[in-house]
Amino acid sequence: MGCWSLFLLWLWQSGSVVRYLGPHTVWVVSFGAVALSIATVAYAWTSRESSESRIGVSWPRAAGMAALLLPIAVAITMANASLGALAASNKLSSRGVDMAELARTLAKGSTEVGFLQIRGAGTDAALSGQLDLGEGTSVSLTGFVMKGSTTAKDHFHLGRFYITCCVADAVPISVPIDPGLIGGGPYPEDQWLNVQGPLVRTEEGFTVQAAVIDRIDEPDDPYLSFR
Amino acid sequence: MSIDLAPQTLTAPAPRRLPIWVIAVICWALYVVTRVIGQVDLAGFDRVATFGVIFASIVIEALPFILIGSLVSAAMAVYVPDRFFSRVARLPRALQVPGATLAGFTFPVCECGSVPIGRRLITNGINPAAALGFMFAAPILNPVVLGSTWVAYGGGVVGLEMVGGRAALGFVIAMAAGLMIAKGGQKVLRDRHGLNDDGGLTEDHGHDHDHTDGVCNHEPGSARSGTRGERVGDYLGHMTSDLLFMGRFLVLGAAVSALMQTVVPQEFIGGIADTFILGTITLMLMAFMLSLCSEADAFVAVSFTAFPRSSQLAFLLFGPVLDTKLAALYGATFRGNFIHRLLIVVVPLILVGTLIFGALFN
Repeated sequence: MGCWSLFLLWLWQSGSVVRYLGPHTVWVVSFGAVALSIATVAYAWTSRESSESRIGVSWPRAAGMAALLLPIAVAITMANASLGALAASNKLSSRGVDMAELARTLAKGSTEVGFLQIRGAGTDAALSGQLDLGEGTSVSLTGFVMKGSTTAKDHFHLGRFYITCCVADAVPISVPIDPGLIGGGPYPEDQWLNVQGPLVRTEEGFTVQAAVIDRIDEPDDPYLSFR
Repeated sequence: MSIDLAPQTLTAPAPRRLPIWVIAVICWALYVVTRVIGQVDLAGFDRVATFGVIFASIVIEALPFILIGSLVSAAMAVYVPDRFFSRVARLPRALQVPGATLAGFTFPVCECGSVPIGRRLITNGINPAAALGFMFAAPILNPVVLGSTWVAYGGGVVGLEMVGGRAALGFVIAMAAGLMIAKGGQKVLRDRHGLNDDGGLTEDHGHDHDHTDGVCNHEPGSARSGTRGERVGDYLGHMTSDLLFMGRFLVLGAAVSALMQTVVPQEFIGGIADTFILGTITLMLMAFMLSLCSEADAFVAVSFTAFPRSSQLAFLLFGPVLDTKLAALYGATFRGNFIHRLLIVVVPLILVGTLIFGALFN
């Protein structure tokens, strides 16, 4: 309990919680950190006279505790890891997801422009009008390179994961990028890029005709959220 | 010759103990090793990184909910008077079961938190069917879940249809599962301590905090008497015991779910979306495998655009009732055939219910 309260406190205070949870559930970490800390101190205080605390812990109980510490060990070991192209291709190939349809549904009512909105507006004229997105509109996108359905030579997909509660429910949304005359490739999967350029309408919806492509480090918060 | 009729203390052989200092050293070594490994570049270890992130994220999200469940469960054990539970337990089953299932509408906690509460309701004498009905209903029917379902489906008529379908079918499924699993008043709880269930120390003896020595010296229900300090100590004991017990099975379930999401080939799923029964069963399988929080699953369900909404509804109904992390929690909490009986009741009900939903709204 002590280890978990310290771990949750660290997640909360360091801001690392955004690597695991979405905006809907961030509160559980602060709640857990405070509640577990209080419970740990209170439990230690009330059981200070018990024989158990002086003698030790039985082997089965110690094994159970070790299992509870495993996620902490994994999280510390992989503190810089995040979902990438492999997870995106798993999710896309597996679910029969029509990203454009999904984006169309979830982008309604949006005011900002991002992967979700560009993808949705590409196949929805009303959404396109609402967001003022059309041929030639200049956009700036930050994401990582992932596999996409595009077959055009040299084109690649740039995307981000959208999460609601936790990384397990992450949904990848991507936009095709045409590096055009800039070239500068190859752009390997999982490479983080900032791409700026105008939108071009294609059969897939909108493609970004890249005017600037910058290789960048992964941002502190690698995920986006639907709302 | 005299016979000693004095009550005997129930004693099991004391397990070997691990000294605290050894645990401290192991923790420290674990920390050092993880920090060292943490310096290693994980590029090229995509699967390991994907597994690790999903695994840690499921536990980080679910553990505080188990904590909430344990806090409520311990309060029920220590602070809610016995007479309240005996009064409820005396109500006819026909009133208890729908009443408890309906109570799911008011309790905003997802599936991990509802298991310790369901368990506690049974140990406090509530009809098992009613307690199970509540346990299955709360993660589907609570207002946060229904609200997120409405938002995920873009509100409007479609949102209302999905919320209505989820609430109505969720209520029916939760109640039916509770009634069928606890049919004939049979015991459903597993004995946590591994001691004899017949006249011995079991889950049902009124308190179940960790009997590390295999010794139980309390009278059943004694937690509700005693000084304020004793009650606080008992409360913390119950809470800690529930948290640690459920937590380790959560870790197991999360590991299985993360492993499935990382390594199991899932390409076969897209091609069967058009077949209603196969498509629906496939999405139920996905719900089992993904182990999503019921407050977020609608956002994933809406992404299954190749599947009809009736199949998406099956995903929303099945996941909160049974997934990999719940299977681990159920396995630790309930008796052996619990999951089989749950499947036998829930799968046909979901298939029929979503078929009707599809005929009406698809």
